[in-house]
Amino acid sequence: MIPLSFYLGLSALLFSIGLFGIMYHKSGIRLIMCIELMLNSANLNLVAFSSYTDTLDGQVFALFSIALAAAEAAIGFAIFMAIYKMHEKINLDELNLLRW
Amino acid sequence: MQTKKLAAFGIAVLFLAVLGLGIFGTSWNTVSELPENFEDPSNVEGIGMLIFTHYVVPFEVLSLVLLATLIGAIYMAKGEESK
Repeated sequence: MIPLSFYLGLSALLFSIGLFGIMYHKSGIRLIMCIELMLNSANLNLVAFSSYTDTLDGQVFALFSIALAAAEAAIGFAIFMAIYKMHEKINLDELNLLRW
Repeated sequence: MQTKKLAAFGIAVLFLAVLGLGIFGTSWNTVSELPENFEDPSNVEGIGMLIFTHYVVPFEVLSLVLLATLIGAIYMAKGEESK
């Protein structure tokens, strides 16, 4: 049986890749992809704990987290569409004033 | 440009090291044998029962959140004529 810590290590690896991606990338679309990667690594943790402690609560919470990740991505893209209408490109380094 | 990349990479690797130490250091008290439920293999029935008995309130609140997200996203992404 695979020990639980391997699953947690994999999810920590995915989370740190997402963290690096968020800190490094400038374009908004890639930022949302990295946020989704971090959320999915959290989901992997939830499901791993749920199956390794023989309870179903983790999987139910993973379901809720997937729905909220979708809602967050939708709002993120709506915001980037509004930004794109103003600046013709989404370069997160140049967005430094809240009121454009 | 290069320093930003190295700084970001360093922070991510440090974070991974701290997390990895924590994960591989602790002994998780897990069940000895992975649960193998033959009459409900994909435990969809179990999740369904759990959602509608134990987690009803979060489930309904989640639908409200998704509805608000839908309305907000549509309003924000409105076309030119909304100005």
